Amino acid sequence: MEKFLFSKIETWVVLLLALLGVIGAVLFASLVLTASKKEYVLNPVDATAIQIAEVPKNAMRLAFGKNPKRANRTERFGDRGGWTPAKGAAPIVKDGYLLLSRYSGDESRHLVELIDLSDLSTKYTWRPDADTLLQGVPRVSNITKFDRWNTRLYEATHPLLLPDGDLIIKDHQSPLIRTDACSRMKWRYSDDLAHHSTNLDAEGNIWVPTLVDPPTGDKGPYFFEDGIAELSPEDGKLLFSISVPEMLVRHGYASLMFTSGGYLNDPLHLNDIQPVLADGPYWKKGDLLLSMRHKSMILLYRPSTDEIIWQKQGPWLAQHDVDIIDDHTIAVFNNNAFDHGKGWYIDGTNDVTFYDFASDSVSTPYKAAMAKLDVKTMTEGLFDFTDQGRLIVEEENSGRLLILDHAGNLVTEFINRAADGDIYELGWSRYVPQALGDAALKTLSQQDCKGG
Amino acid sequence: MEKLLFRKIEAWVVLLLAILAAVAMVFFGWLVHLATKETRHRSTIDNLVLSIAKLPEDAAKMAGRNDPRLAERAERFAGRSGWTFANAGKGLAGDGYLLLSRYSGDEDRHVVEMLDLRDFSIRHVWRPDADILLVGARRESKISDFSRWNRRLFEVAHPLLLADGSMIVKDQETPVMRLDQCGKRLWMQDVDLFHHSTNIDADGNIWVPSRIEPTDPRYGGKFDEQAVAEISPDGKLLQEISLPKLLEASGYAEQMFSAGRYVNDPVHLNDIQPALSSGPYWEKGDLFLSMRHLSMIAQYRPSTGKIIWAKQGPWLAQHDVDIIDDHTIAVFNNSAYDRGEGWFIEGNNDITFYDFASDTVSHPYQAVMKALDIKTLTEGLFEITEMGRTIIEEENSGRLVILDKDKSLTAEFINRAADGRVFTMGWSRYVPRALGDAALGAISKAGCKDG
Repeated sequence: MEKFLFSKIETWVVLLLALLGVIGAVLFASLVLTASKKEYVLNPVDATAIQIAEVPKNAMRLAFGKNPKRANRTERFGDRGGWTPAKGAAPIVKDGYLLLSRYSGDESRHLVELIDLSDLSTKYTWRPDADTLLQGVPRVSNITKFDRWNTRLYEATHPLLLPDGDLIIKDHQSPLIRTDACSRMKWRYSDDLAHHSTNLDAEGNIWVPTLVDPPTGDKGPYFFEDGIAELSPEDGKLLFSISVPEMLVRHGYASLMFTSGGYLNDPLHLNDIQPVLADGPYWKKGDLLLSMRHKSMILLYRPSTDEIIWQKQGPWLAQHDVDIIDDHTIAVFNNNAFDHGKGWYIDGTNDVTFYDFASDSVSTPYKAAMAKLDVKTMTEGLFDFTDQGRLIVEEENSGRLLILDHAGNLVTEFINRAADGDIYELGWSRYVPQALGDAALKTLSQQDCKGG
Repeated sequence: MEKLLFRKIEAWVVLLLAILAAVAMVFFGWLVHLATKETRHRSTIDNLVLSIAKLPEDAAKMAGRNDPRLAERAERFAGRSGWTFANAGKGLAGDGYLLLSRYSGDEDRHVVEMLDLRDFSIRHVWRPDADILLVGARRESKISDFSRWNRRLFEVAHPLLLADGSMIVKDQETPVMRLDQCGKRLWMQDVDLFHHSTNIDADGNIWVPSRIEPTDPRYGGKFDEQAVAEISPDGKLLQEISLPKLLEASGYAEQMFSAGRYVNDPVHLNDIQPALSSGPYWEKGDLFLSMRHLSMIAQYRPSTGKIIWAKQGPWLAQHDVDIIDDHTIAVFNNSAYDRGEGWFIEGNNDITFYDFASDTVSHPYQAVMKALDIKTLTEGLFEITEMGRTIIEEENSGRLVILDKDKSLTAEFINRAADGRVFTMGWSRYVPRALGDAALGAISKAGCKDG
């Protein structure tokens, strides 16, 4: 070896090699350029070129990357942590519970806690163990990455509490699972992976956005084909499912998803399905309000007849969470998020934007409060109204949850700070009415697994 | 020199240099990868690394491959060239002229020919020389690359013939110019760059899509801020309306900017069609705007600054909206998608009619478009003549067809050069008999030869 290392090479050979090296570098750069311009890299040559070109980025991520569960935009919160009731705020009396879904920096896993809003005490804690719950589920997909399919990174997104203390849980693109009080699996639905919201209809069935994988038809191998699924809470049996893109094409909305401006593999981004629980002048029981972030669209769909009853794009932008307020009004968690060529940003703050079907008008009654409290979550985020009319707002990305009174005044604030000082993300918390929470706690108190 | 070339270097030094070179190559690849990000405002370094990375592609172009003027999907036209006439024979009784705009492979430049549809004789030929016409034009743009600003590549996109024999010309993203009867430039409007259609309104003013530069910084440095421009017959810019700002003010911001992905050309205005008279659904002076990347047709009223009506789809990536009667518009529907593996046409192009009175869509040409396999991925237009015939141009494919009133094929033109290659077209236009006669008379009077 030493003999080789100290052997002599004539300069012209070195210069020739250098010249070949320069040509090789230019050809490599040309390959990278060609591959980078493609929306999806399908052939192995392009994929290898991109992988090599991304070595510096990945090395930096390994060296300096942060815990992906850490919240962002948290500098706004100073050194506050946990629950901080606002000075002078009237106490909350018997206004139900909060199913607080959060990543615990202290336990390095996601927790679901039932909080009594009267005193903000934790009544019960579930600790879903993804390592166990997701065992045996096939992990084959062009779209899902599976990097969160473990106890450390799993998020119990939008957990749904049932009267017997069971939870319906999932992460984004993971099986929908019913767990018992001790977080043991009762059933699991994994034919299609679920994501975003979980809601119950008037019959007690579960509605979740799903991913149709692999995508149907000629939408491209990496197409995120949003589905709508209805499942039975008893056994996780699939009762109804449709592909949203196919439904939109049937109704003449192909141009919303496919045109020539640039292919987008996730053109809709369904992030909420809100079942209509009672008939009203503008909808029928069983209709579904759908929120599609990438179209800034709310759409009223009638599964019984496969009809689009109504749709509206904007003024909400990149919204999450649509809720029915009364028989003629809906409200939307409006992220107000743009990308104007320099990455995403929030135009001002988030908002809860109301739309009145009767007057075809939009109002923003919480605008001032949201601005004052600087509510800003770039993605995700939701709101719930309590039985007594208080507003719960979750800033998922920022690890903060707020409760406001009718007038928009702050009642209390929760910041998901761990003992290490870092703030961690939330996971789609939910208001639990008093009766449901009481019923669940009655069952849970009889369990011996002591929380999760 | 010889002494230097034969000087000895120890192998470990060469190995060390090789490792450093490999690391540098990876970093260089990373810089290229970063520079291609659409959302990134390109720095001088970005432009430099991209220029180097494009060397192989540029070399291939210079070697004669990838001639941008060559037609696509031309294999469908094997064995056919120039004009071919169906059973009805040559000549379209009662109709006017065709302003045939095309690349001439034989002349290695773009030409505009005035054909008399009665006998398909060429009555006049224009050969605009971009090397001369664009002298002195402002070349300031962060988006345009000016690669077609020369005689060889310049396309006279949608030439507009005026009654005095003069012509309004431009390419995609060039100044607008008016040429006199002999092809000499009378004026040039280069405040911004103009593109796609050129149409005249009831007052004789010209409407052309433009791009405002520098773009509003709110939209990003490389944003294509499309605009609706009105130019007087003597070349003055009368107004230029930013379409993104108009869409924002009209409640369509989410159509351009949302969280899915930033697109620097979210609108892509490709036709402005002025309403020449009032009707139950529009007023004289209203403009029908075709926005390809939104698959949207919008009715805009400049007098009030309002969008009166808009419809997205069922047309897809359409070009060319025309007013058919007082309650109907029709759209050249490219039916073009991108579903992750490049653009493609779903079946064939179509001419899709929308009836304002009944709020219904119809496809009266669907069968014939399929039978003739009409396919142009981008561009493409149609015109209905005074006698009710339909002219359809497949720009990308270098073909133009004329259908009779019963939609049967009457004539077909394939823009094939003597060397057998087919070249693209350039937005041809029907010229009514009276206008064509007047223009030809003025040209003849001026004593101009084909130019």
